[in-house]
Amino acid sequence: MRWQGREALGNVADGEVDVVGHRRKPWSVLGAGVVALAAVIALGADARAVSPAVVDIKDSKYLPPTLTVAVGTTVRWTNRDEETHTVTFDTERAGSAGLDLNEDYTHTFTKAGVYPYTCDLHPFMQGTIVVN
Amino acid sequence: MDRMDRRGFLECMAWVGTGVVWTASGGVFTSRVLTADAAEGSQGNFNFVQVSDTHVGFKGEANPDAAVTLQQVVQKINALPAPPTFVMHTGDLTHGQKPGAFDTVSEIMKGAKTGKVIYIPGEHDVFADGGKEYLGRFAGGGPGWQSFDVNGVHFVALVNVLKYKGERIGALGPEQITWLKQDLAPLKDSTPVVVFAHVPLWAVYPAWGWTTEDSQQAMALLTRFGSVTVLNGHIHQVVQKVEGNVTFHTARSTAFPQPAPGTAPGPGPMKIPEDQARPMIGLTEVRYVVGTSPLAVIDSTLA
Repeated sequence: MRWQGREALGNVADGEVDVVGHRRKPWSVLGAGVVALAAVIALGADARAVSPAVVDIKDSKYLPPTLTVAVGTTVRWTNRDEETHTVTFDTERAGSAGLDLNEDYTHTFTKAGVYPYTCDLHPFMQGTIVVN
Repeated sequence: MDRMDRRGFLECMAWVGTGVVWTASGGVFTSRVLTADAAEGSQGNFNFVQVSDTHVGFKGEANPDAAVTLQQVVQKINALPAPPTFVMHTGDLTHGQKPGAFDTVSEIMKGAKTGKVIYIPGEHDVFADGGKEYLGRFAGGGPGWQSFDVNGVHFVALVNVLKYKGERIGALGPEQITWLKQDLAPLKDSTPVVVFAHVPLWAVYPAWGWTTEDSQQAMALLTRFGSVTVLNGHIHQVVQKVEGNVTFHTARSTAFPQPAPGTAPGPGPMKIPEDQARPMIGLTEVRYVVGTSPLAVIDSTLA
């Protein structure tokens, strides 16, 4: 799922996605963090301008459940379930309408902070966007 | 009404197709035969139908068009041996409250040969706007809960989805529980009571939100009655439980089945071929026979 999203988008910055902990190689946590941080710093300016970070909604879960992005990043959620889901923030006065299969929602984060969100229809679904 | 035996069982199966008749007595399930004659033979007997989770707007692997299966359920209602006194829709009329979906449900339900169609909301009907459209259309702008009496049976239709967002779980809220207390107060203990709500009023599977946070407060008000039947939807499958004089029962969806608790990564629609889904969707008929305290709950499918 993640690879599909990245391929579709073409130029998603590695740092913005991989920092979350979806490491493809058994690097040390510290090592991966340093590499990812470096990527954010290196690619930050370009990525902010063009590349949405992506969250898939599948099997009533947000994947990845926690996503860390830079200020100014647009995040795109896509519902891969036949069930309706929403992206509803606890603290941000924003959120999606009901998303049916393959419908998506985007939101641009303009301030640093931690943004927990949930699905109005399935409150057990929990996700977090960390904006640095 | 006879005790169940093999002949009776076959008779029962022939009558309801794949349905099964369950009644509860003294906390123990017994299967009984309930023929059309039994239901119609005595003054005061009546039946009603529960339809749930019609999810109009849903299009998926298990069902390409939920409006079509709802129409087929209406045809089944119209083929019942006795027309139901009313049809109760226990919520999730629509799949995602898309424009026009409430109109479609209303139009299809108008085809049911019954005295009245009564609705309570599911979370799919209210999440987008806090219930504004639903309550305006189906509750005259009121809170949506209501009670009524038919031939000595007291019916209560509760709303446990409007606090879904804030409480993070099915909830009735203190205002509705206060109303329920006042509503039940004048009734004799011998009055049969039937309670409807969308989300189950007992903890079927809290990890998937299949529970009502404050249902115990409501159930405490009902324990004094000799016969209480609680009919819910939301979980798209038949689950039954008996606790004292209270029988809990959930109805199938008319649109698509959901997995048994904990058997899948999440509670969403089962992705199975249409022909496999049809035995898992349908309707519930309930028969009340004067002089017998448990109501007969009869589930049938579109297979």
